[in-house]
Amino acid sequence: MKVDGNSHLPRLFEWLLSLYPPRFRSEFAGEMRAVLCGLLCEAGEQRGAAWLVAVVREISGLAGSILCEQRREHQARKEQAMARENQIPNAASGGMPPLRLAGNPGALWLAGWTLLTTAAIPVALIVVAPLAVLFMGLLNLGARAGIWPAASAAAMQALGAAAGLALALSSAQWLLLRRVLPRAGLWFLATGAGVLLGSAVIGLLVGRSGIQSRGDVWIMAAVLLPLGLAIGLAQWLCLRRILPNAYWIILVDVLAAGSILLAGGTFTSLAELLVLVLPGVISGLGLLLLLRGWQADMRVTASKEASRRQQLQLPGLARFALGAALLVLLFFAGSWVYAVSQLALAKQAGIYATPQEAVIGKNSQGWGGAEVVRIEGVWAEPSQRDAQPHVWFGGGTVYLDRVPVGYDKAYYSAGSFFLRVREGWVHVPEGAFPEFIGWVMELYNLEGVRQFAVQP
Amino acid sequence: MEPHDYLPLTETSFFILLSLAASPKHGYAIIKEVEALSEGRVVLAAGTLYSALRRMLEDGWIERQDDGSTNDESRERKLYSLSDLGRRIFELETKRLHSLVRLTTRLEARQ
Repeated sequence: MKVDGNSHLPRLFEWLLSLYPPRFRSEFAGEMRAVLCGLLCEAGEQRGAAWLVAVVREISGLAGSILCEQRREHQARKEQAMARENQIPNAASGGMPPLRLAGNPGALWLAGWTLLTTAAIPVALIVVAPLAVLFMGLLNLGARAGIWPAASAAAMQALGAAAGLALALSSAQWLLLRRVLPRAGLWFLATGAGVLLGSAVIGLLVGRSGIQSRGDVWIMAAVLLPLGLAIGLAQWLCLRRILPNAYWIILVDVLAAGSILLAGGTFTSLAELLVLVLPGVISGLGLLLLLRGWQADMRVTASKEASRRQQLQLPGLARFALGAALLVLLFFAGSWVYAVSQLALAKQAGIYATPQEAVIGKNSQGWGGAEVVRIEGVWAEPSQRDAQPHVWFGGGTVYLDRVPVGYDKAYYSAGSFFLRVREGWVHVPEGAFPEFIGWVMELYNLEGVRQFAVQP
Repeated sequence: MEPHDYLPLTETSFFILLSLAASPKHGYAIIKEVEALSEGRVVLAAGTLYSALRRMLEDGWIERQDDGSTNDESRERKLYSLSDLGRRIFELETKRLHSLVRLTTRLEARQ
């Protein structure tokens, strides 16, 4: 292509032409080159605005056309892949769609499943606060308009927890099943729906029963077993179209969820925390056995498909580096979202002028129906000496008018964390990792925290 | 698909068919013809033209043949011409536009 007066334009057009799908390029690029050359030579004779308008028109025309052709090519490839899938022999399945096994799901697949399913639990805990803030914001819109009453922060946190677990668990499992199950998106929907429905049932049953006064293990059992059952039922609905023995997944999921009970009521040691790996191991093993007992004759076709995919993938080291970089980015972005959301929730619960007032305010309610008579010995101090001056720990002795439900005394030494924000002090429960939030506040200078002195 | 299933045509498609109705043309000539027919209102970019031509070829509206002459890169230049289906679609669209114009004229005359 020769265009007088500008040597960069031909290169630009050449590059743009190279962005077309190969089929289109081989058919039309030569002609397009000639046409572009003719048009720009003609515009070049006019110079000034006319030339510029012509160049802009051609570039934008090419950009739009490239997008359109690439999208079309992508759709065509997808349709071809679907047509190939439909040609896989399907005699043994009795009309069921074939399994698309990526090689042979084995130990590595099980390790990945265990890791991701286990990771879904802390991820769910992290996304609770952002989701709760989101739900609260949405519900507050209706409450302000007088359409429905305002919901409590605790209800929103419960909703956030259910949505967080649904999102994290279904995404993690979908990630590993997308190469194994046909239409794995259904698994994502089924698992998410199972968690949400299970949580709703648990909320109704546990909230109205007297189980809360029976101890931590009973409460956990009342939460975990119905949750496992709901997830199992939902996943069975999804699996039964492709696996003849899909009903086993219900038992597998109940066992997986129930396995957390082995830790007892609390998680205070590393050994107890390790119990959280069990749901991943049990559900992964169960699913693996179900999958491996099925359609060995499909593997020849599937391994060809897998090797084709492997050829298209990035080299291992590049994938690892890309994954690591993404994880780091995700951590910092997630930390910011988490801290900001937790602070928003804490502000919603109450802002106090001093940490001592915050201790009193926080402990004045929430004692299972008992009234607070007085709070004595109120104290508060920085949680760490010479570090994080905006993170304080404080407490006092709370005297109640009677022994509350689920407690054994009428007085308690209460202690908790408080964070300094622009407007004052807010309470952050220990389970929300207040010192981590304090670190994130320093990292991003949230609430102008770097200006705070150690003195309150 | 029946010819009337493709109607109404986009302005770009209509002008390309219109430019090819009289005689077969190559890409550059189509752009120039469309510009002239629309009195400078529609100026096709090369990308837009060739995406439209690819679609029309696939749908069987137009046909492509070698020109016999070569361009700068010694490639055969291609001539595009209307197929029977393309001509039928063009006629149907022209009729549709005529009826719209007639209707509008009648309404204006009443006012």
